[in-house]
Order: sequence, then C-alpha cells, then structure tokens
Amino acid sequence: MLPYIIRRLLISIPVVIVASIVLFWFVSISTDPTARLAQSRDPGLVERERERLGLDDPLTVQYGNWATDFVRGDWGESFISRRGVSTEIWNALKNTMKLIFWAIGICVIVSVLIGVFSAVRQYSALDYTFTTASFIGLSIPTFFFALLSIHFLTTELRDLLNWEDPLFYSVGINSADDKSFLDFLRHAALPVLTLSVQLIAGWSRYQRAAMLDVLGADYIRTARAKGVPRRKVIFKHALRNALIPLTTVMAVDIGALFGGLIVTEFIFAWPGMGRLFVNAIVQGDTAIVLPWMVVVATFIIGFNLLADVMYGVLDPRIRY
Amino acid sequence: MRSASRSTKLLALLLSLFLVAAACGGDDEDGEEGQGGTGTTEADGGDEGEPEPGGTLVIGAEQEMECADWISSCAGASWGIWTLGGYTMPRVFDFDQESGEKVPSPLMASEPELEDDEDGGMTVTYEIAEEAVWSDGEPITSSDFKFTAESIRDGSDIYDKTGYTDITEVDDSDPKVAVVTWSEDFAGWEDLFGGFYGIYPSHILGELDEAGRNAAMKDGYEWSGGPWMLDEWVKGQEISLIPNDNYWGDKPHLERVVFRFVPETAAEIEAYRSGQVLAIYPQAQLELQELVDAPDTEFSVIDSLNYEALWLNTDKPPLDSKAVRQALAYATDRQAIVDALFKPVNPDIEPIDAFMTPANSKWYSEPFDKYSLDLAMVDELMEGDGWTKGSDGVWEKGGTKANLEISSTAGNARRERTEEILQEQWREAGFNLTINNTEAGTLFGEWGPQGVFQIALYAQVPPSTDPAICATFCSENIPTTENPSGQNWTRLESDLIDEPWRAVDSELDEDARAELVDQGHEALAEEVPGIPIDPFPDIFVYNSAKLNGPLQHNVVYGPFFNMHEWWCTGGTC
Amino acid sequence: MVFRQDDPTKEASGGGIVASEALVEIAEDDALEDAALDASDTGVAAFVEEGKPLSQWRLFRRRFFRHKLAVLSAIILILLALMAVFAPVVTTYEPTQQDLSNIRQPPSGEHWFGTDNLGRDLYSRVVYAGRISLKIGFFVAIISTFLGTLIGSVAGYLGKWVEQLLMRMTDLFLIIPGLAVLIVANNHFRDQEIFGVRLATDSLAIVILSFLLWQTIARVVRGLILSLKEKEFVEAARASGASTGRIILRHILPNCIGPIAVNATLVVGLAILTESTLSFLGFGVQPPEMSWGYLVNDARGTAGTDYAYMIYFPGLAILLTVLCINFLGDGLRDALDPQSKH
Repeated sequence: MLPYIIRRLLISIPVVIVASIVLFWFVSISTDPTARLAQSRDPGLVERERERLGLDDPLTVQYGNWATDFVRGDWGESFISRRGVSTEIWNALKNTMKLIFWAIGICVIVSVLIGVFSAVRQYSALDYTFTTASFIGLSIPTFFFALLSIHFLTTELRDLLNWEDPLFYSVGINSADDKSFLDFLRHAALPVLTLSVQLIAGWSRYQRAAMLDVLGADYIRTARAKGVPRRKVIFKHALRNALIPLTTVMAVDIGALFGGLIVTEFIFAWPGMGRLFVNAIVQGDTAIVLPWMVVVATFIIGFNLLADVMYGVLDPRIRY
Repeated sequence: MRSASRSTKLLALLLSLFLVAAACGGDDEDGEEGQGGTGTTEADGGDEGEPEPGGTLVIGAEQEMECADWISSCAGASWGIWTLGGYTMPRVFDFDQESGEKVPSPLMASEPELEDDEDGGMTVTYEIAEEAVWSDGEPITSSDFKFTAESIRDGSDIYDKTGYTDITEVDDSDPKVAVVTWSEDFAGWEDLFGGFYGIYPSHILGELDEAGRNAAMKDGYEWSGGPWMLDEWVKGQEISLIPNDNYWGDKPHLERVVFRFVPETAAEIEAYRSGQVLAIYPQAQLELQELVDAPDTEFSVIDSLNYEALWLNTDKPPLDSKAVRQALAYATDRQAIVDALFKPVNPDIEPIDAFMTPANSKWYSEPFDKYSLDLAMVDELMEGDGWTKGSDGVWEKGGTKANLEISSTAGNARRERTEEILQEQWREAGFNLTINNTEAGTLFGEWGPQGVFQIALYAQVPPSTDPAICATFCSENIPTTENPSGQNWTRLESDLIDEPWRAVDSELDEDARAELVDQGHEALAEEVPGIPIDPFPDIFVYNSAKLNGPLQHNVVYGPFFNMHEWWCTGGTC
Repeated sequence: MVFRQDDPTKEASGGGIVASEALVEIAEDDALEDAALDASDTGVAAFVEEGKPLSQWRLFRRRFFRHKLAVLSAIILILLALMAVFAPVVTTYEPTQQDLSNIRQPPSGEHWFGTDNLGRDLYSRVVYAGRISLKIGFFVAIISTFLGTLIGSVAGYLGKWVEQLLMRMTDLFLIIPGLAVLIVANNHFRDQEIFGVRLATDSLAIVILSFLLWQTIARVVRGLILSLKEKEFVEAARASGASTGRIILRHILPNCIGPIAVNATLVVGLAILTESTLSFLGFGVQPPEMSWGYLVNDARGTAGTDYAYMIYFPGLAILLTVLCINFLGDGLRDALDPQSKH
C-alpha cells in the first residue's frame, strides 16, 4: 500500500510543476502587473516596477525567478491591499474551507441516503421524484438558485415569521457585533445550501447507479439466496462496494469545487477564495491571480491523489 | 426500513435545529417594542431626549481603503477618510454643511489669520488650542505643523503637493502658535493642514524617514488627534473604532463603531435590510429605491460636490473637432438619464450645467443649459463640419464613420446603464457607440493618463468647495512623458479655457475670482472638452428607530463625521 | 487519477462492479460519466453485436420514443430554437428599445415579462438572449465535439507517446481551475485583436468555451477507440490495406456516433450553463449584446424585492433549456443502450 501511495505522490509533483508552468505562461500573456501601479503620480514608478519584477526578461528566466520565490514562500504583495499575497490567500482559503467542510459533510450523508434509497426502491414514486430533482439540480445555474434562496429565505422569511432579524443572512461570514457559532451558521446556511444542491444532484445519481450495479451482481444474489438478511446485504456488502467509485468522484468534485465556488462566494459576499479571485480580476490585482491558480491547481491535484489513494484502499482487488 | 428511519431521524434533527433557531431568533424581538421614537423625519435630526451611552454601531462601507498614510500616493480613496482619517486626524478647518463654509475646528483656539506679504507671498498664523492633545497625552504643537508641511513638501511619493510646495518656512518657536509662510499666494490655503491629510504627530513619526512613516501608518496607527481611535482593522472585513479617552472635545457616547465592508451594491442593500448594518452611505443605484420607504428608515438625499461627466479625449478623431463635440452635447438627453437613473431615489435631482454642482452654491453657474436634446442642431453642426449621414444612419466623412467608444469603471450598474442609454440616444443622432469598460485602477491609472480612452464616464470628487479646476482643464496639465501626472485627460489646448482658470488660482479677491470662475465655465461650455451630466447625490440611509443625534450630511467628510454625538436607543444598537 | 498508467481496456471489457479507471478518469460531470460508463461498457458492445445498421436505427428510434420525457424535451427545445430563429416574429418590441419613463414595470398584458431597469421589454430580451445563449451552446458543442473527436481518436488509435502527450494535455484541463481561466481569458482577449480581428463578445465566448470543453469528449472518444481498435472488423480493415485515417473515419467512428452524440448533447447544456455563469459575473457578453446570464446579472439587485420577476424569467429560461437538454441526453443514452440501469 505504501509504495503505491508514494508512487502516486511522486507522480503528482511533476504534475504540479507542469501546471504551474502552463499557468505562469497563461497569466503572463493575459495580465499586466504594471497597469495598476500607474495610478501613482510618481512618474518613474512604472519603470522601476518593470525592472524590479523583471518583466522584460525572457519568460523562462521570469518563471525560474517566480518559481524559486514561490517555493520559498515569497508570493509577492497584493497591489490593492499591499499585504502579502500568501496572507490574503491563506485567509481566504480558511473561509472557503469552512464552507466546503459543511457542504461536504451534509452532501455525503444526504447523497448516500438518497442514492441507496432510490436504488433499493427503484421505480418507486419517490425514486422518480429524486431523479427529477437531481436533474433540476444539475440543470439549474448556481447563481439562479443562490438568488432564489436569498429572495425567499432572508427578508421574506423574516416577514413571514414576523421576526426582528432574518433567520438566514446572505452577506458575509458573520455579523460585526456577534461572532458566535450560531451567527456563523446563520450566515453559512444559504451558501452551503447553494453548493449542496449541485453536489447532491450529481452524487446521489451516481450513488444510485453504482448501487444498482452492485445489487445486480452475482455475489449479491448469492448472499440473498444464502439467506443473509436484506438489510445486511445492502449495507454490509453492496454499499461498501458501491461507495468505491463514489468516493473517487467525490474527491475529484471537491477539488474542482474550489474554482466553482466563485459564483457562490460572489453572491453571498463570502470572504473566501472565489471572492478573492473575482475581486482581484475586477481590481486588476494581478499579483494574486497566479498564486491563486497554482494553489487551487495544487489542491485539485491533491484531491485527485486522495482519490487514487482511497480507491486503492477501498478496493481490495487493486494492488500495485 | 432502516434507510427510511434514518431519513426520518435526519428530518427530526433538521426540524429541531429549526426550532432552536426559531427560539433564538425570537428573543431579539422583546425589548425593542415601544422604545425609541420614530426618529426625526429630516436628515438634520434634532435630539430626542438624553444621549444614552453604550452600544456598538455597525455601518456599511462601500469600499475599503488601501492604505492609511494620508499624504502618500497610496491613500487616494475617500473611504479612507470616511472610515478612519476623518475621526483620528486633527485639522484646522471643518466643513459646515449648513453654511457651506469652512469653520475652525476644535483644534484651533481662534480663526487663523491670513496676511498678504508685499513681496508676493503670504503668511498664516495658526493658534492651537491649549487643551489640544494627542491620544497619548502629548500636546498638539506647532512642530506637528512643521513636520506635516515638510513631509509633504519634500516627500517623493506624495498624493498631491499643491499648496505645500511654496511653503518656505514654518515657525514653531511657540509650541502653540504655528506661523507658516508661502512664497506665492495660494488661494486654497484653507484646505491645507486639514482636508484629507490632517496634521501628523511629530513626536511619534518625526524620527522616521518617508518609508518608515509610510510603513508605520499604512496599515493603521494606534494614536489619534480626534474623538475616535483605531481599535482593529480586519482587512477585507471591517474596521472598528473606539473612543479616544484623551480627546479634549466632546467625547463619544457610543462604545464602538464598526465599518463593515460591503462593496457590492446588492450585498450592501441586503446588509441594511437584514439589519446587519444600521447605516449606509451608498452611491446612487436603482436598487436603492426599495429602501426609500423601508420601515424605520431615514432615506436622506442632498446634492454633493461630486459630479459625473463625460470626458472627451480631444486627441482622438473625430473628437478633435469642436463641432463634433458640440453635436454630441446636443445629442445627449441628460434630463432623460437623470430622470431614469437618479429620480427614483432622489426626486429633486436635475442635470448639472457646469463642471461643478449646485451644492457649491457660492460658485455655481449654468453655461451648459443651452445643451439639451436637439437633433436639428446635431444635423446642422455635423453637416457644417463636412459630415453626411450614410445609409445606415451613421455620420460619415471622408470614408470614416462616426464610431465612438465609451469607457467607465466596470461593475458599476448605474454607469453601465448610463452607457446603454447613451448608446441608444446617440444611435438616433447618428453616432455608433461601443462600450469598453475596465477596472477602476486601469481606467484611472493607465487609460486616463495615457489617453487610451476615447470617451470616459466617471465622477470628479473635489476635495473642497474651492472652485479651482485649472489642474483639470489647463493645457499645461496635459499628461506628457515629462509630466505624466498631469490631470488634464481631455487634452484640450485652448487659450479661451487657460486664461480665466490660471487666474483663478492666484486671485485672492473673492469678487474678482467669482467673475473669473464664471468666465472659465463659459469657456468650457463653448469648447466642450467634456459633457457634465449629473450631480452625485449624497445619499445617507440609516435606521431612525435605533439611531439618534444630529445625523446629517457632510459632503466633504461624510455623514459619519459627527458620530461622536450620536447614540443608540436604549444604549444598544 | 491524473496519471494512470494502466491500460483502461482491461476494465472496460471486464465490466463488473468496479468502475473502470479510465471511465472515472474521463469526466468531472456525472452525467457525462454515466454516459461514458454505459457506452464503453455495454453500449458499444451492443452496437457491434447488433450488426446491421438498419435495424439499429429503427431499434434506436423505438426505444427513444418510449422515453416520454426525452421526447417532450426534444419538442420544447425545437420550440425554443424556433423562437430564437424567428425572434422578430414572436416579439413586439426591440430588445434594446429603452423606455425610460416605464422602467421596472411588472408583467402585464403589454409587457408579458414586464420591463427591466431601462424600460426594455423583458420578454423580448429573454427571446433575443436565447438566440445568443443557444447559438453559443450549439457552436461550442460542434467545435468541441470536432476537436475532441479528432484529438481523442488520434490519441486512441496511434497510442504510444502520441497518446500520452495528448492525454496529458487533456489532463491539464482537469487540474486547472476552469472558470477562473475562462474569466481571465475573456477579460484579456476582449480588448485584443486575434489575427487582426476583434471578436464580438459572443464569438469570443464560443472560442474560449470550446477550448475548455473539448477535453471531455476527447477522453470519451479515446476510451472508445481503445476498446474498439483490437476488434476483428478493424483487424480486417487493416489487413486489407486501409490507411489509418480511413480506418478511423470509416470503420471505428461510425460505431461511436451514439456515445459521441450523447456527450455532445450534454456539452451543449454545460456550455450554456458556463456561459451564463460567465455573463452573470460580468465576464461574458457585453451590451448591446445580451445573454440569459447577463440578464440575471442586470437584475441581481432585485432579489428580495417586488421586482424579482427580472430574475425569474431569464433564470427559468436557462433552467428549462438545460433541463430539456439533460433529459434529451438521458433519453438518447437510454435509446442507445437498452441494458442501462434506469
């Protein structure tokens, strides 16, 4: 097992490097770090910055310099806030992780439940309902659902219940004068819900399909014929096997979530990675763009690696 | 079925969570009933009863400043003043909204005295109040004036040195009297040692060089010369202030003030509606309309000094032709724009007819009112300039079409709507307009100074009521490689414009100055380097049930300038 | 997951409960994944075993029309497409015609969807925006299907280092944060001239989106080619001296049309969703052009107010369209593979 993990880990490293090269090239042709700086009234500043940043050096040299700095932890300074890019990204990352943690937690449980239930009760009315709901969940644009949830579940709900404060908030991660956990939950509820819709829609269908696949297999029929109780068949034999492909899909989706959070965080003003990116683009804060992309790419690669490992762990037939 | 009961358990859990949340939410209702009056109906609120101490006030801020070293080039944002600078930096003059005049602040023991020197310069004597001290207890002295003046005059990375460059001497022999001497007359002297800079503490920063001072201040500073001081600045989230216990003037009633950053319009309005912030100071947007009649809300709008205009790059054909520029002015229905985009939140607003607003009542004139929608005039001017209308309805001359491009700050819904309206209006008049927006940094940092734009839509934010705009329109201020920080982005060289505006800068006699200002605006209306559209309404929205005190506008320092005199109903906000 | 060195055909022919690596590798989107699963496992085999193309088609048609939702979706989509094409006929107002004295009017007999922030007829705008959204979806599907099929088949058939190189290229697209790249690219190339031409914003969107979405189809095609290239009929063709290109085009690809069509359909939906997201964030089409996402963006401030109808109509348009596309794709897949698990 361990050599398998190490092998996968080692392979991931060149992947990160290649990704960083591609991203570096992409960012260098599509952004201009000095555009922002020209706002200063100091005439020589742009020239000095170009020199300092080595913008007139050949790309390979630039990449080399950037890479060595990056690995050492020097990610440069944000043009807007004048703080370290690493600080900005780290703070944003923490907030995004909170969302992801809650979304995953809820989605895993709900998806598995729905998937198992649908598979076991195939063709029932509830199964069709879930399937249709999944289709809607996969087809609805994230921003539409987010706006709908704001429309119906914040001030409308408050007025309906005739309360002083809304149950759910849609702006930011907490209130200025109340940093309690409950306040956090009230802020996180709608963004997490928005994220969950798509995840649950996809995962539950996948789980259902995998479950059906498993339930139709020979060894399951054998177990049933042998008189093993139905419940045990489902949960001890079928589910464990059906979870295998699902865990890998989940791991991949989670990695991809980082980029996909952009819309959700944008709408709910959640101070995470997605919002950081959009602000950086709109404000021309190009210093953030490349490190952000490399960090997200690394996470995605990391989760892919995790998927590889989990796959190897869960499926006893796979031995490398 | 196992799975069914599992689902039921999940449901039960969710239901109980909901009930818990319901219980918690309900508690807040009690205690607010029957208390606090309806508040005043005018923005200039009077007091209702006695101030009650305590409470944390949360205010929504549309922008977060980048840096808090006010004199440095990194500190150009007005929101810096409105969230920190205005409450912590001592200054000579305050702006009195009622009279539109500057009045000496509590820092001054008396009105500063101006003396015109015979050899062409001038001297001002500032008498500092005895009790004026910094938050650490040290007195505010004339050495602070000297330090401030020299830092600005001799610094290399200063936002704007105008007015300080000609300071020859600051006499600080008497710690409570500063005598400042200029080699040239400077009419806008009242904005110095104040304005958006304030006065810097020499005993804290005096030993540092420019870089050191910048580093010490840009992320916030622990000292203060005003009623508030910085408690914490959580970047990207909020900035909070607490009372300065050593302030010699009126001390705040509130325990704490937090400025929450909500840069998106929708989020800002949402934050107010849901009660997360009690006051906002937003730019005009259609979305604000729903707040106009919101419960317990005071929606107060007045004209400010700021105004929005179209700025024409006269270097780019066909805008190099005066006839075309005038034709554009006649093709624009400014009234319709203002009616559609501003009247829903500010029913009394009208387009402006000069490069300033009526709020600056002392100097305002209306030379642009001859330009209203007049397609016949457009035709006359264009045809007189040699243009003919092509088969697609677009003006043509010598094989070139009248294709125009407009740029503004991306992400501002109202500006985008303005551009779309112009697109339609000008299409009817025979001009083809495309929209090409960019981020504010690029627009103001690159496109403006380098003349990359053709037509730009943005607002001017004058730092004071002083009418001098030579910096914006005189030909010596066109940005060049030698002088890249010139502010004349319309790039028009015109004697008609240069003459009066140059004189305005140095003329100290108010009446003579007023005449020159009128002349200058007439010249601008003739040459049309730009088309003024709308005054920026100063919009102040706050919860009148919870907030009490003299809440009012202040177009220079923002409506929160006197929040040390506010209090919350019942001592809780 | 990214750098699986193993031969995916092993699993593909084995079937069974473990989803083959190649197939899990193929797509992030689960719908596509399902399609690939089915196609690769049994779908293609079913095709090949069926043999005669004539009965295949009739079989396919019969199975498809049994899937009522899919049929209904197809009808709705055709209707939407017709409305888009004949937009001037089904609308009474110009989509850019402003009426500044009638802004923010709720739906009425005169304006079926009401008016927007500048008094424009929202119904007309939704229809015309549909033109752009559908056009973008359609062309992105075509271009990315073409590109993906080309690259996938070359990779799958030629194997060795060519396959490795091309597949690693497609892997890169899994790793790179797609939406972020789209945003940066759109932001930059909007002002630039590509080969001397400044693209209209919707054409630019088509180019950039195709660039990102071709890789899912490439994967699928490669998997198919791999599982097919060792079959007897291919051997026979090779033995008779047919060239590589001919083999791919004449013999292999026709058997893949089914799965490719399913994937292409789903890509249309993906493209529409992605484009609407881009436009919603402000990085997609620009005025005076409009797309559904842009319309929702313009209406974003109405959430929680009485004017939220400005959000409903374009949003529902997107939802309806993509939903129908997904049902249609599902129906196609079912029709192609009778042994599917639904």
